[in-house]
Amino acid sequence: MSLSRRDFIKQLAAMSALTALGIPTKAKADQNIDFWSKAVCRYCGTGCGVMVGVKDGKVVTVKGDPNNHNKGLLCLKGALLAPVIYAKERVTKPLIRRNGKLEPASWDEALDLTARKFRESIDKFGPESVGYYGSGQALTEETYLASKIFKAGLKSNNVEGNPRLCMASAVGGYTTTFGKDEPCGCFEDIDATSCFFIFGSNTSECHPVLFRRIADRKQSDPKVKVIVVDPRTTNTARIADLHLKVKAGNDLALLNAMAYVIFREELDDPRFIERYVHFKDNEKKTHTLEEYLRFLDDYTPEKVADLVGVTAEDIWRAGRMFGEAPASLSLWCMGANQRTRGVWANNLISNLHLITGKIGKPGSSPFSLTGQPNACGGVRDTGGLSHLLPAGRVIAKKAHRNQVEKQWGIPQDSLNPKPGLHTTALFEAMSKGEVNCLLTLCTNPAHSLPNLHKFNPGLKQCFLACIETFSDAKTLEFADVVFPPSFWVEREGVYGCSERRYALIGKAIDAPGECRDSVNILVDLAVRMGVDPKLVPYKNSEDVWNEWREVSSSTPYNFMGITRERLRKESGILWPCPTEDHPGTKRRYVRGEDPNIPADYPNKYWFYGNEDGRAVVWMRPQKPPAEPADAEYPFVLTTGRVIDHWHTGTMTNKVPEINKSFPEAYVEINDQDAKRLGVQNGDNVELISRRGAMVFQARVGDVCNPGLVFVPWFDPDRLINELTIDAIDPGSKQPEFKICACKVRKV
Amino acid sequence: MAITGIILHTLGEKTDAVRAMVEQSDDLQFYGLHEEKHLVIVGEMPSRELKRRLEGLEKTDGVLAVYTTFVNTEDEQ
Ligand code: SF4
Repeated sequence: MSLSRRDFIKQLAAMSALTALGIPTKAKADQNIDFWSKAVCRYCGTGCGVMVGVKDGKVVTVKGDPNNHNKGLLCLKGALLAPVIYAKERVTKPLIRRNGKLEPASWDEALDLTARKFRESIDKFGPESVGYYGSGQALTEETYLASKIFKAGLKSNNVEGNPRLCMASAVGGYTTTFGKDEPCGCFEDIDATSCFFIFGSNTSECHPVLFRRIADRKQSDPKVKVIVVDPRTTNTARIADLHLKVKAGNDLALLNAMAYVIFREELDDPRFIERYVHFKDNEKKTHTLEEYLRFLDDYTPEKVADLVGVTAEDIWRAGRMFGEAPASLSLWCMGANQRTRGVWANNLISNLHLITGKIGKPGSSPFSLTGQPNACGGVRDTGGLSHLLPAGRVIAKKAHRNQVEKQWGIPQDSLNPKPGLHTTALFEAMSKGEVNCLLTLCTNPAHSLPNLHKFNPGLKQCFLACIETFSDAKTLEFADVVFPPSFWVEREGVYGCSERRYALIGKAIDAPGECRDSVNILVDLAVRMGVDPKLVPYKNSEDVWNEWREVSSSTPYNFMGITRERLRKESGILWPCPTEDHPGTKRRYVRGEDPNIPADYPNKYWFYGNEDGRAVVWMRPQKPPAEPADAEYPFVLTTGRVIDHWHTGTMTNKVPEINKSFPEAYVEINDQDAKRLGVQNGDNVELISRRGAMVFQARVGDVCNPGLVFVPWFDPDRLINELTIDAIDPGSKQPEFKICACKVRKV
Repeated sequence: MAITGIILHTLGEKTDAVRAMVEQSDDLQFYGLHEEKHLVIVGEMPSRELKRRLEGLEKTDGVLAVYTTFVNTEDEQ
């Protein structure tokens, strides 16, 4: 490379940083772009708006959308999205497995074979012998459509998706506390809060652009405090005023102890409690405030400090910081959700807001951060799980089924009243031969399920058809048919991020080869399976979107005002949004903000998801994880994401810059443990759990607590999920990826 | 050598010290300061070292966060 070329690239590098900061630059590169098209980042639940630069029909660059909530900033993954589109591993033709090998086939062959297999299974074994497994990365329209095809067209409620693995406990937490799913607050609360309570979230790596906003807020006012609860000293914990480096798995006691401190210090809000809250125990029996306080007596900081693994003094500090702050914002993620008591952890975080009245005000809200870019929109809102129907309705309720039957134009009582199988039950049923055919869309369960040795036989045994972009996705090793879909900006559709914000991904380029839009693949397949064409009369995703708006309009979700036209003009709108002139809703359950509450409603707040209009403060006791460390397996294994890679790596491992800097997974181990085991940085160590063993290079340091090891889960050559446990939360059915026991051995 | 666009988000009172550190580093070039808290810099280092270098920057006293906005590795390919 010549010097001048090198200097030119350095200028570009500096300009990209300036652009990310919102400083206008006259980038030479801009002059080489034919047009810019608006979209949403393909990766995390932050849902950053992006502008895709197209030249000669190809995406040549990606920059942040200055009009979206991210104000033009992207993290490295988002900025490097372009090479993913042009990866050599793109599937561009339908494939059928013949003699053990996936070989090119025609669309008719692939669709007919899949339709025939599904039809035969339904005719012979009933509709529950088939299923669908989708994704929080699919478009909203795709999930709504797939769910309708299976539930209304095929009468199978076996409709699941990978959000069961990441957000199901948040769904359970919100619905049990507020009666309705989804957060009440918005990202703007970050700019107004005075206390961040970050619980089980490595925001700096998993939601990097949001973390910048958090760091900005902290810096803008020295009175702003940050409390981080995490057994690792993550980059997020480094900005904390108080890092509670807890023992993994005992934090329910911590949350109850913080509630205890709040009452002892008289930081509670008696008026809010009296008007808007009631107390319930695990048997759903209602209790008085006095009984709740007696329940909390078992959780004094002094009583729980050892169990939690932090000092009583720090628990007092945490409770005071939360309660004394004018506004407190809780942000949590997989550390709370991927647990056998994930729903309870969610409830107990919301408790802190309800007892202090720190909810529904700028800067005050319980706020779960969604892992995936469209887990809220794509799956939760549209009812893409086995117990759900669109817009917060549930299959088990006849009234809800009847409403949806009417909207879908199918006979009353024709929907299957029995909820389908949740994710791990679905894959177990495949192993037992009870589910014979599965259609997947945009997901990689052979990498992302826990305890893979248990579930992979099911994938092998059943007829597996995958709508999948990349040929190296692990799941394709088991596929019988592969359908090549258009990817990201090759088709139009809508994503809904963590804050209930829906934004449009515009079509910017044509898809390669024979790729088709997934909406069209689903419609074509449904009709060939024998689904009434009148049930799926869609030409494109816009048709599906317009039906979804109608279906939501009689519920508190109400998307009626979020028209395609508005989405094309605006960079995201927060639901509920009942009319085209409605600006969208920043805070739910608040009169004057939430359009579901009449202007003349007598009270300021109304938790209308619950019949009595009150939110529930739950009395949830401490429970240990399913498989704590013991004498035989003395370490706790936890898994998670790193900033560079996304989920199963099928996209980020196509980006040379990322792959070179972060090619493989490692194990993070505490320096005291390493010393004891004679392990040095870079040594190979074997992790052994009750389910399997695997070798990783060691990274020794003080990030993990002693007794804890951490492995990122993106690496397809080191499938850490062969070691994780498939124990699930009994309420949300979400697996406990965050905690299982293991041994560590130098090799 | 990879070329990387980097934003260092700094604590206001430590911005000058972080800037001095950047200016003394052979592999970092200072390009500008925004709102007294964002240093715009360009890094030149082998891409295999990029990750470790960024982690090192993140651990520097006064640095709240590190953002990479651009990476080019064409002369390594
Ligand atoms: S923070 Fe998330 S949504 Fe934003 S650019 Fe990075 S990966 Fe994409």
